[in-house]
Amino acid sequence: MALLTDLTDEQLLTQALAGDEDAFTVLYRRRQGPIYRFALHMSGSSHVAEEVTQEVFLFLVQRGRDFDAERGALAAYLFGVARNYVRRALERNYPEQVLGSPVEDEAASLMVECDPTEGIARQQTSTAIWKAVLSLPEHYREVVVLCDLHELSYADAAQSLGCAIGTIRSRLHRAHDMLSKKLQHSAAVAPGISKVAARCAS
Amino acid sequence: MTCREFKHSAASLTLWELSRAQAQDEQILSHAEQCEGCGGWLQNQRSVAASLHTLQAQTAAMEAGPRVERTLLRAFRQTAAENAPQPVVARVSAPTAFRLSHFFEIGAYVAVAAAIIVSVFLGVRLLQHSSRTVPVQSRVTPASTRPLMQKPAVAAQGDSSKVASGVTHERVTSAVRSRSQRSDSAGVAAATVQTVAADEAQTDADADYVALMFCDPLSCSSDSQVVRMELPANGVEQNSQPPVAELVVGYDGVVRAVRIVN
Repeated sequence: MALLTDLTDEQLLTQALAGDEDAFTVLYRRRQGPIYRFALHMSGSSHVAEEVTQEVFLFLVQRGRDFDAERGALAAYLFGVARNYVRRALERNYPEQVLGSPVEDEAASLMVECDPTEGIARQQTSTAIWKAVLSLPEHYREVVVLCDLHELSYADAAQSLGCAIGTIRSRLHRAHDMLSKKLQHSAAVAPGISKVAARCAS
Repeated sequence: MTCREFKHSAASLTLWELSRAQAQDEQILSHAEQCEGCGGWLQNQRSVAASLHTLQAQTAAMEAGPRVERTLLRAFRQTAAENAPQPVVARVSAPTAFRLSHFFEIGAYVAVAAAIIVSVFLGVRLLQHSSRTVPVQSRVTPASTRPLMQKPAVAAQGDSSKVASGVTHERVTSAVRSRSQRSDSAGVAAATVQTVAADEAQTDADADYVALMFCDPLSCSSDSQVVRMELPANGVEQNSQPPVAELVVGYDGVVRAVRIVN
């Protein structure tokens, strides 16, 4: 197992497809977090995120031989597969969970409160950011999640979404403007958001 | 730096680079300080970056639960087992395959035996057929090369009326047709045609015949005739007998063999 952790994603996939369960386990533990968070950021539902994560790696087990390493990294490939499963899940079962209920439970459980008032403000900020991101149109939300939250390069994001780098850049620019307006609107409604955001920025 | 250049430069940076743009891009910062609109835009971008950073930090530790991993490992093992060769299936299918191979093996033996039998049968038939249809060179010769004791009355040259059938051969059993022909140009005075029975044994004159063509059993299987003819007497003394030749002629009119009688 210690040697497996030194292997690249592509090498692990090759061994996993040959029947090596340890290689698959290492690959899963390395990549399930980003995939889960991508689905969570895209859907706002931990249930959808778990389902998508499971579907993505099931797809990898069954159709992993379709992956072509010459066309890009495995991580970007997995994000592309996850994106399709998120779309499918949102269209099928969970449209009501996306817009209305971001994951307060997970987010709140991770917060370390040093000040009760700050905790409330942070809660409001978190909820506002979630709502702002989730209210973006899907193709803008994708680039924000991939490039800003997962810090993918524009090239990797373009590979995952199947579009040009220039498209990624323009969508991101537009998405930032939309997010800014939404956050300003939320700050006007709940002034604590801007303060927390300002502190976080500093 | 103009506002247009500011927007162009800012667009080339990621949100994180833009939020951390302090010393690395002095031109952007100085323009943002001078231009209220661009400064406000940069502040908004930083606010967005800070908000997204908050969200990123909040969700950084989130992962799929252990249930997903267990489900995936179960599916992985199942897929690996399906892809691996299954000895149970092999044991089940082995008797059928064995029976089929055994059946085909017996069939192959039967086919080979049948082919051998047919070959032997055809060979025997061919031998029988070839024994009945001896080539002319070996079959006709005994019948046709028997010493014809006939001394045909050969007409002299230019005399067509002196054709006689002085056949004295004691072994001529079939009807003897004698026909004399006169050939003015070639000098052949007459010819006597006799049909000789095929069962007569004549072996002493076999060696005298000279085969003129090759006969295979199919084309030379019919009976043949021996035609005795006198050769032109040119260059031969008038008192002596003209040379006589016997031709073995098939029913197709082709001369098979020839010998000089005297």
